[in-house]
Amino acid sequence: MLIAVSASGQTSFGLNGIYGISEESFTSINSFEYNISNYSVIKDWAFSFTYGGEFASSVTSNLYQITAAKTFGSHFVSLRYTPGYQKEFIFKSGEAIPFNNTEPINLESRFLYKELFGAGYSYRINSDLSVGFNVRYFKHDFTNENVTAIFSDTIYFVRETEEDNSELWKTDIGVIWKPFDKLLINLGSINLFTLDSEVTNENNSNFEIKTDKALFAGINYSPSKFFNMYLNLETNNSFLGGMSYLFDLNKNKLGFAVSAFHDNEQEPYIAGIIPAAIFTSKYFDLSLTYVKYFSERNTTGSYLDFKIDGISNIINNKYSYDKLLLTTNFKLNTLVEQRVKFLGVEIKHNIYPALNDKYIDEPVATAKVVNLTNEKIDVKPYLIISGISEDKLQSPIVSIPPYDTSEVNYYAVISENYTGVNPEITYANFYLMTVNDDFDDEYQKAMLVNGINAWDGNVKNLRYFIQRDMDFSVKYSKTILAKYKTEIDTIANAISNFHKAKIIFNSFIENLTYTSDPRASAEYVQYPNQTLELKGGDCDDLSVCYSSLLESIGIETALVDYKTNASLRHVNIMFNTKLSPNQAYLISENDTKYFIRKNESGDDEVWIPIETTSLSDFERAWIIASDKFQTEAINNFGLVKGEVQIIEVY
Amino acid sequence: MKKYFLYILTLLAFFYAGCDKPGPTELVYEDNLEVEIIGKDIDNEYYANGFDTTGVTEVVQNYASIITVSGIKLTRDGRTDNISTALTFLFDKTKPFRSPQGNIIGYNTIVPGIIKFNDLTARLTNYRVRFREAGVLIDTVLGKKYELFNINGRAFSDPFIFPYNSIISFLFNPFVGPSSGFDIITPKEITGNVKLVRLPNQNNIRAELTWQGENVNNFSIILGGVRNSNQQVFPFFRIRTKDDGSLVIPNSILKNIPRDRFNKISISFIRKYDKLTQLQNTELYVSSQSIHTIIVEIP
Repeated sequence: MLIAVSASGQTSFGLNGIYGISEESFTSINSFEYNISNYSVIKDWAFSFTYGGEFASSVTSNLYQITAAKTFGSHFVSLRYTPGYQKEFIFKSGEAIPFNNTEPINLESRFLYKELFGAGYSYRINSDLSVGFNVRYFKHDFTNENVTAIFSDTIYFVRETEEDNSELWKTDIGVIWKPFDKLLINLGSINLFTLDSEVTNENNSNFEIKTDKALFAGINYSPSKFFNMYLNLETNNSFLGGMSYLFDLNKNKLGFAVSAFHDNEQEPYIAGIIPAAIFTSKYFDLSLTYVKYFSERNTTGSYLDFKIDGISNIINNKYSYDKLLLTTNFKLNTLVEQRVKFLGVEIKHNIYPALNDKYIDEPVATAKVVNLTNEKIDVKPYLIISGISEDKLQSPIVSIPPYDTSEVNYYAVISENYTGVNPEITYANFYLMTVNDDFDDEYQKAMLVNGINAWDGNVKNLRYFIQRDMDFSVKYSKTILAKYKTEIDTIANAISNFHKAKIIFNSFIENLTYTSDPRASAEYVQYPNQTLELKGGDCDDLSVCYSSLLESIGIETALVDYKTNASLRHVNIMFNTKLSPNQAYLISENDTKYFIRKNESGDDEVWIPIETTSLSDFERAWIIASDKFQTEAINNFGLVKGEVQIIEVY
Repeated sequence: MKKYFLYILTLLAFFYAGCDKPGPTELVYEDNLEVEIIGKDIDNEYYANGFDTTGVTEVVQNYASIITVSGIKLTRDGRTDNISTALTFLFDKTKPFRSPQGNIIGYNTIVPGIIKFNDLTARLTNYRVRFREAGVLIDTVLGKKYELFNINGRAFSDPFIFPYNSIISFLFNPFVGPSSGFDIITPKEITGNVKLVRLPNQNNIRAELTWQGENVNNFSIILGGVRNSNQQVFPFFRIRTKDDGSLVIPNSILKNIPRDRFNKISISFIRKYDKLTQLQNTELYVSSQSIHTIIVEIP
């Protein structure tokens, strides 16, 4: 029968100095005594050892236990080696053998009780329920001196030493249940399954550790994150109760615990008190524990009492001495502790590879992220778009308050080596990183990546096409200008830009024809080299090409976006002649053919529009463009209404 | 991570190197068991060592004179005999009896008057001694002793029944001079039980003895063997222990009893009151005993 109100002594006595199981308090990985179910909240590895001194007739120091523990997901395993869990008794037998007037022979026996090692396993069913068991191995060494009667012609005694031993395996099961956040219930068996080997001398079996079956019930109440109370009861009429209070110390905790216990086998009723100083941090815990027994602890005792009562617990019995113990738990985490989590990701833009620089300024996606911790954390977002970007790109760090949700922007850089012509669906991988070496969370979402010539229809973004092929444009423009070096050298410097633009226009249109975009879902824009190679293009291709050629030789250009006809939008360009309004007559006395714009310094400069689709000559293209601009932008108030927009290339 | 393991191992090595053995607790064996060898030479014969089949009588020659009254139960072969004895030896210490080799075997006795126990006049019988010396068995008579003897209350025995937990009046009427006497207090009756247990792992035994303990100071147990040859009891050891009701005689004491010479063992539980007194200016040792002797076969 499992439930038995027996007379054995207290068994749920550990060396930590704190005997409640609480996630806020000192970890109890090293104590199968009251942590029967082997419950743990450690994330990964943990190591524990207890070193201390026992105040017998002299102070003896000992390494009481070494524990290694590991969490595997919901499984937790621990191994404990207990070199200091020993108790030795020396019996001065008083057996006197007077014979032939010799002095009486005093015999001596030694009983050594050892717990050598143990192992525990627990499984966390859910956050509120955990079950587990432990197995412990004990050994009893009995060394008895006795006299043997020898019967020959005479009878005499000889002294002999008899060595005997037995082994004991104990297995107990337990369960941890948290019905409420602040309450934890700890239930377990005591000596549920025992298996022991037989001693050679049957008389020694009377002195083996008592293994009466009993039940253990512990309750742990934490009214605040600082304060913890616990009470551990055994059906063998023993109990232990106490409390702990831990203060915040930066990110660590420092405090004390005090416990008192009643042991059915010890006097007085409250057999002892256990004050402890506790320090706990992310990586290690420390406890300095003093075990003080209220009854006098002599180094001698009564054999008859021992014969009747025996011991149930090696480290806590009526023969145990006061102890001072230092317990250290190391918590080593090789696993990523998730501190932030994605709630969702919104793709802001499909990718147009030509608009590369745009994605450095504008996020391609925005994620909703939650901070899972109770402290403010800095989140580093990373993005890699499969096939587009070569490496993870870190976006700006975002700070998120404890348990709060925040938006995190992801920016992108498109590899210059990207040459995809057709649109394709690819995957964007979003990552969140905090203090760990690995990512806290990752999220994958499909994303449309257009071809390298795709354009989103926003004239403003044509500048990216203009800027992209600048090396080609520089080479092309300088080659043309070199042919007209003599002419250029003879003209006045003031109208140099005008003439260079004119030369380049007339040269580059020689072999070009106007062609429409290929049929595609996205608009199609050619890079300058493609336009010249293909010998044609539509308005945006030609505007891009001419703008790029002018920009490559230092002539400032702007795109003119005509949106007056919603079904037929048009783009041409204007460029800066660098002439002041007073010098405008040098290129035209018709003031409708040029327009005054202020530069960054606030000075007025003369700009002239060019219709790049007019592929006859520069003059014609200028007239068409200036007429259109005068009509739609000025006369019809297109600039005011926003139907005509001038967009700086740089 | 590696450096943390290194720190931990270093700490452990440091602490482990500083370890002592935990302080032991010394327990005192209050039982204060004493074992005394009675029969040093196992070829010795009874009477010289003061032992007979019924149990132990006193080693009479150690005293100037001796009065001993005994209530004896002898259990063997499933039967218990109740024996009552009252004996008086009055020695002439000036006349020791020596063996041929000069060892004092005893003293001659004298008969200076009449002795009564509970108004029953003690008979005079021969005080015989048997001893072995140089391989020769010698019988001799050292005089007379005063005796009352009864077994199982039989009519042809002396009508003396030992009264347990009571008193026996002793009266001495000398041939010359006035009478004198006193009461002898008797102990409670003792009833023992012997269980010989064969140990499972060995071809050996231990004896588990129980009796009703009365915590009388003078309590002892005599362990002897019964000779195969003549079924006489030979005492090996006197064990002095507390009159607390139980004792285990360990295997180490019993295992070497030579089975070829002793096929049974004899256990005598002896509860005794004794004192020294004066009788006619002579020192007198008076003892009153309750004895239960149990003879069991060695399994």
